[in-house]
Order: sequence, then structure tokens, then C-alpha cells
Amino acid sequence: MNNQIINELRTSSLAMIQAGTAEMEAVLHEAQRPASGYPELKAVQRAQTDGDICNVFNNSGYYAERIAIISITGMMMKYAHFNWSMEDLDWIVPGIDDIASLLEYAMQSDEIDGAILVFNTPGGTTQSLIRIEEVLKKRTKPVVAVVDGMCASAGMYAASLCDRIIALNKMCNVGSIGVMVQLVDYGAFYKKQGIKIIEIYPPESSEKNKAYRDAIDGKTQTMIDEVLTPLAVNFQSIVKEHRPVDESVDGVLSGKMFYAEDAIKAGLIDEIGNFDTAVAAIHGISSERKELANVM
Amino acid sequence: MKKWQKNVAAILKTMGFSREKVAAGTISAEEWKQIEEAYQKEHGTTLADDKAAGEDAADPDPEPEPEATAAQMSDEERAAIADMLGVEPAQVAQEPVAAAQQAAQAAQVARQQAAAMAAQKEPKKPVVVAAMKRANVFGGAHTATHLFGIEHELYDRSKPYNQLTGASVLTGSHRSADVEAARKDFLQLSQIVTERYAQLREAGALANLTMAALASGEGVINMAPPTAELGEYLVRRTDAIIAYFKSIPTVRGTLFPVHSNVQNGEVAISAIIGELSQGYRAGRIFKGGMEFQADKYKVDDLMFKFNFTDLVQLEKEYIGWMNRNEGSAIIKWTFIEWVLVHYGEQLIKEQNERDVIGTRVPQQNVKANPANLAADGVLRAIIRSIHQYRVLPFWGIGTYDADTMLDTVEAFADAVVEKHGNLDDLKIYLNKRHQRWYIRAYREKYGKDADFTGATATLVDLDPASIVWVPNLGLNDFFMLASEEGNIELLEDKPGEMLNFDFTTEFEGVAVKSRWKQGAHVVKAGAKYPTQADLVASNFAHQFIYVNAPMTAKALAATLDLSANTLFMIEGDTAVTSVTGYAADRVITLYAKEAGVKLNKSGAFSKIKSDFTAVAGGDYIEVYPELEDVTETIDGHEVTYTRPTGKFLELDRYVTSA
Repeated sequence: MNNQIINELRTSSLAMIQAGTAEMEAVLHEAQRPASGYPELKAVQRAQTDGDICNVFNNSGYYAERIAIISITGMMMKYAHFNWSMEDLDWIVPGIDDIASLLEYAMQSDEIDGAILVFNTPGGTTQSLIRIEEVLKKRTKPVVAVVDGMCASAGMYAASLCDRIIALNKMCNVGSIGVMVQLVDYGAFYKKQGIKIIEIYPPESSEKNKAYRDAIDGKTQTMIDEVLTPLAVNFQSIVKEHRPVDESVDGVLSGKMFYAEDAIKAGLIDEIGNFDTAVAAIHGISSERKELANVM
Repeated sequence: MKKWQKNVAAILKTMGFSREKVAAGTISAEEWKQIEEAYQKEHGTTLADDKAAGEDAADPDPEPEPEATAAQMSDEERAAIADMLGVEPAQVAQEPVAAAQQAAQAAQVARQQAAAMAAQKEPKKPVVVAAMKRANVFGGAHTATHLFGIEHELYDRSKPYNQLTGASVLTGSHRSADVEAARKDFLQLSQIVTERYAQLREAGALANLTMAALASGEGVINMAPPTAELGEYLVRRTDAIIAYFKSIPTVRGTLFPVHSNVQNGEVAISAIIGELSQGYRAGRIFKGGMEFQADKYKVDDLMFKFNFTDLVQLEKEYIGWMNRNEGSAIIKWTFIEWVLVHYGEQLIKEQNERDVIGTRVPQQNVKANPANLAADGVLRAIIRSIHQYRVLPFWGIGTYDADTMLDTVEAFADAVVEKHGNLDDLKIYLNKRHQRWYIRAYREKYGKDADFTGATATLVDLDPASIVWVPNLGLNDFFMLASEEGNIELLEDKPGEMLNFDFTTEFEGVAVKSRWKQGAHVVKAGAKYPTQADLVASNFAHQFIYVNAPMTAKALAATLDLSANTLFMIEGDTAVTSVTGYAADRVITLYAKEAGVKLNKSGAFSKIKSDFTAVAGGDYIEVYPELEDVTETIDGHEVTYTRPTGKFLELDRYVTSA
């Protein structure tokens, strides 16, 4: 397991994107000594906070708090990808699977009591959620989601699996619980270029790509019934299961965005706070659970 | 230890999590989720709610009296309150910081809500039109498939408990699946009733809802949400349940109005306005002041948990009820409706008594804490305002008996008129148990003046029909109160919360429980003075209610008889060995007649915190009976009951600083 994580860290985009690559290398070097268990995560955390991603927490002095700070920014994609719009990030953004590995790594470290996931994302692909959902469900330590700007759609899905959701500002934007698909029909373009595309399906494969083909033909119902609705229902049920959502609020589960104060009323987030609030929440949950052992 | 910790620890054990696993912190988020779900199923409340409530497991302390936590306000807080009220900061009285902060927050929220409401467009909700269709609320005859012909799952005749109603014979069917089905239906019905109650209340339609109107088919109340899902008959049946509850006479909402949606600690503000006018002079000459005093609404958490250990017994009781009422009852309840009605009625009756004489004390670790010691009632709210130096009692007017009652009430009325000017805007509240004494004496004395030619003007206020007779007071409660009507409020959080029963399966039986909040509050009592001396010096100037001082004089003795009252004016310093004649469900207040009066921490009072030595007359100590569980074997069955130990615990005391 240890080696697997190390390898993932080595090969994932994470190792490439951070300014503090030397520190990361030091951690990885440390990590290759299996006898001492998992290495301390301070350096990884520093790489996260000192890098350009989450400058909000630069020099914040939370190393002593034994808390890993991990960012989910930008479009949530399953794997690492190039980002053409954010030049100062060395063009590569980590995939959510990489983030999930990092989180899992933190959850297994003796040096870490909990993690803060910093969200500023408009959402992303449904596939990006598979691994992080598993990690968040299997974790044994508190994880608090902090919304630093926007936490929408897939971001909300992941955040709702955390112990608490704290917005840093009342104008932070959360919600968009819902799904959509965007299809592009290049048919007319190809035709103009003199290209004809011929698709052939044997009768044994009559259902293959049917939802897509129907949609291109203008019949969107199959796509809705077979693809989108099950996803939307699953999304709603995950949020309902993990958050005290007030379903009487218009649009709360059907895609509406809310500013933080309204989001609290709708039960989408817990409070408006700051980084200290999140740290305190983690310590609070940790000590609350430890106390339980004393009363058993 | 907190209650939720105890509950979670029990659930962890039931689910097989070892102490070591919990200590090592290896329980996953998914498992925590299951624990939370089990918690909600087991206790009917969410873990988060119980954490927020923070109730202690064994000995939950009541909310401290506001003055106990009093601290001085900072300049910023005074400025915030002043800003909210639109006055100068200097005009804001010194009050507890927490109250001030809450007031400021409340104002902030109110402003935001007002702004939001102003900006909001007309909501896109359909207009609800009262359905004018007249249908028999109770449905018709049973059909082959449904009771009363009501085609809803709750009335499905294939369900075992509905077969009880249809055939009036025991089902003998108590498989766990049947019990589970019944549990779900219980839960559904009580939630629907609670929702419907809140809906009717919000629409102001409760007043129109009477059993007689429903039975005659005149009730036409019908509103969309519950009907939309469940059909008109079910709504009408729930209306019948609510109308039945309403037909039980209570003081709640009749003698004393109800203030809903009170969370504990909500800020109540009263304004004391000074003299304003004076002879005309030119120039910038302003006179008058307005002082705002913040007070806190106080509500306590209550619960009711009952375990039907034997469903067969419950069925027998139900069938007994069906048979007894056969032919004469205007409504037939199904089994689950009957359980709701049966237990709801008992809870309402208990609440009715508690609303008048209840006092919240720390709950003791026994099987049965008295219902009257679960929350504060009207009497307690008045005593609280006396102890907070808001209200000065007429010390010269005390207890009475059948012969002296009329004279005492007249003396009280005279005193009120002397201080207040008249009785026109006030009502006199007296103990209903003493009504007959009063009427007898009144007729004897004023028979000639109060005959059909009309009572003479001076007697109008004291006519027995003008007096508000307060039920549920004890025979030995001699309180007299003069107040504006509606000035004393009963508090609740969510309307109908008490009757939102939650049913859970418990071995072969069914447990039923609910949880709610209640309290009582004097809206306008009087200006709050820092000391008794200041209150006396004010000479009733800023007081809105008037009370007598109904204490019984009592010299401390080795054997102390406390049967005459619950409020005593004690003297002497004899150590009390035993106490007789007290009720297990009442708080006893002992006021010192003068400095030097001493109640020793010994004998019956060995469990008070320390010796009580009065520094001035009027210092007091409040005590309540200690309880214990006793198990005896009767007819081969072990029976546990709760009784007083003969010793007293301390609730509160006040000793003037020396």
C-alpha cells in the first residue's frame, strides 16, 4: 500500500505542479523507509499551501495543527489535465483521483488528525467522483469542506460527504445540485467539408449509443430517462443522505445556486466562518469521538 | 456526561464496536453515518439535535435564571441595542451581555428579512381555495377493503390492527412484521396530525374547528398540502383528532395566550416610558426617557416515553373502549387513532396542570420525575418576576380562608386601585378552588346590591363573574394577581410538537415517545431593580402586575408541618429533623422573616448546599423533594415506584450581601 501511494504521488501530476518540488522529493525519499510507517505530511502540506494554488492560506501557521490542507480547484476531472487558462500553474491541474490519493494518504498518517478540503470549483465530471467518494466514505478522520469562492455541482457532491461545510464569505456560491450533458452535432460541418460519416450497427447492437443517437436526432427523452435522471436521482440522494437539506426551499435539489447565507437556510452548508473555524471543527469532532471511548 | 454521549455509547455497543476501536479512531465515516441513523431510529431525534441541546445524561440542569448569568454590557453592545431600538445608548439599561447580543442579532436578522420580503416578488404558489364540498367527516360505513370506506393505506382492512376496528375481536397477530407496519402507520399519522395542526394554526382556522361542527358536516376547512397527498377524508379525520384535543378544556390559549416558536433564550424586550409632558416653554427643551429592559424567554425540554410491553393488553383496552362507546360515541377511532387520542389527551391534561403550577427543577435519576417539575408554569413566572425585583408584592396582604377571603380580596383590590388608579384595564385572577368560598361570601355580603337590578358600580370589578378563576392551583395556593389580560403568556416551540408521537418497536411491544419545549412568561412585569430596597423605594411606580404575598408564617421546629402552603415565611433557627405534609411535585419556598433566621444543613435539609442564614428579611431558599425508586414484589411481580426520601434538594437561594 505504501509503495502504491508513493508511486501514485510520483507519477501523478501533483508532484509536477508544486513549486516546492524539492520538499516533495524529500518526503518521498523519507517515505521509502517502510519501517517507520507513513512519513509526516508536513512537507506535502507545505507544498500545498506555499504553492500558488491556495494562496489564501499562505504562511497560515497551521502545520502545528496536524491538519492536511488539500485544494480542489477548477474543473473537476478524473485525471490530471492541462489547463490552458491558468498559466502560473505550470499548465497542469491534478485529477480528482490524485486528490483522493493524497487525502487517503493523509487519513493514514499518524501525523495528521484531519483534513480540510478547500473547494473553488464549478463542478466537473461524474467519473471524477468515484474514487473520492470511496475515500471520503472509508476515512476514519474528520474532513471539513471549506468553500473559498464556489462549490457547485460535483464539488457539492464531494463536499456533502464531509463532516461540515464552511463558507469563507457570505458571497460564496454553492449548489447546482443536478446533472447535464452537452452534445455537439458536427454533422452539418462535416457535410460542408465534403466528409460523410457512416455509422453501422448490427441488429445485435441496436441499443448501442442509442441515447446519444436519439439525442442527435432531436429525441432527448432516452438520454434523460436512461442517463441523466438516474445520475440526478443518485446525486440528490447522496446530498439528502448526508446533509440536512430543507427540501421545501425552491430549487435546492434541482440545480439552483445559493449564496452562503441562503445555503445555510437550505441546509446545504453549515456556517460562514474562516480557516480557524474549520480547524476548530476538526479538533472538536476528533476530541468528541475520543471522549466517547471514555464513556463506553 | 451528556445525554447524547450516553446514547451513542449504547448504540456503539449494540452495533458491536469495541471501546478499543472507538479509542483508536478507526470507525469510518460510513459507519458513523450508520450510527447516526441508528441513533435517530432509537431516540426519535437526530444526533446533531441532541448534541446541540447538550442535555446532561443523569441530571440535566435547567437553564440558569437570567440574573444568575448577568454581566454588564459593553459599550458596543449597548450601542447595538440602541441602534436597533432607535434610541440613545445611554437609555439602554444594563442587562446581560448574551441577551443584548441576541437582541442585536435578532434585529439584524429582522432587518434582512424585511429587506428580503420587500424585494421578493409575489410567490408562485397556487391560490388555495377552500373546498366547499360537504362530506361526512367520519366517512361512511366500512367497505370490504377499507374502514369507513376511506381508501387510504391507513384504513386498509387487511392490516391486522384495522381488523380490530372492523371486527372488534383480538387479532392475536403480533408478528414483528405486523408490529413494524403498525409502527410506520403510527408515525405517519402523528406526523400528519402535527403538520395539519400547524397548518390550521397558521391559517387561523383552528377556532372554527369544533367537534360539533365536524360531526354535523358543517366543517368546510380544507387546505391543500396534506389533502393533496392523502385525500380529503384523511384530512378530515385528522381534523377530528385535533378538534377532539381542542375540546379538552385547558388554560393554554384560553386564560393565557400562547407564544409559539420560542427557542430557549429568545429575547423579550419591554419598554418603560417616563413622564413626557410639561408646561410650555420656548426652545430646545426635551423631557422624558424610555428605558428598554431585555429579558429572556425560558422554555424547558420535556419528553414522554411509554412502553407498551404487551400489545394484547393494548388491544383489549381498545376493544373495551369500542364496546363501551358502541352506539353513543359520535366518532369511532381506528386503533392507531385511538392510541394517539388516548395518550394525547393524558399529555394535554398533564400539561394543563403544569402550565399553572409547574416548576422546572433538575431532573433526578429516578424512574418517574413528577410532571409538574418538568417546566415552569404561570405561578412560577410570577414568582420569578418577584425574585428578579420586577414586582413588589403587597406584603400586608397574605393568605385567607373561607371566612376571610372576601375581605382579603377587597383589601387587595383597594391596594391595587391605590397604586394603579383603577381596575378598568386590569383583571383580577384568583384560585378557582376557592371560587365557592368567594361566591358564598359575596352573595351573603352583597346579595342585595348585586341582584337583578344590577351590581353597584363599585362592586363590578369584584363580581365573581368579572374575576378570572384560574384552575389547577392547589387548595393551598393563595395567590392573587391583578394584570392586564394576555400579559402572561405560555410558551412553546413548534405548535403541536408534544403530540408528534414517535413509535419504535421495543422487543415484543411498542414504545411511544415525544419531545417538546414549554414554559411561561410575564410579558410586562415591571422595571427591574438591582436590589429589594430599590424596588421598595420605587413604590410600585413602574409595575404592571400586582400580587399579594401569600406566605404562611412558620416557626422552624424539629418536626416541620408544611401542609398549609408552598410558600412560607420562616423564623427561628431550630434544626429541622423531619418535614411532613408536603407534596412530591411542588417546589417549596422559604422566605426569612428577618435577619438571622437560619435553616441548618441537617436532618431533612441535610442535602442543601450549605446552611442558609438570612442577612435581611425577604432572603429566601427554594427546595424540592428528593426522590428515590423503591422496588417491591407484589403478587409475584416486581413493581418499581418512585417516592420522596423525606429529604430536600436545593433549587435556588438568595441572601442579601452582608
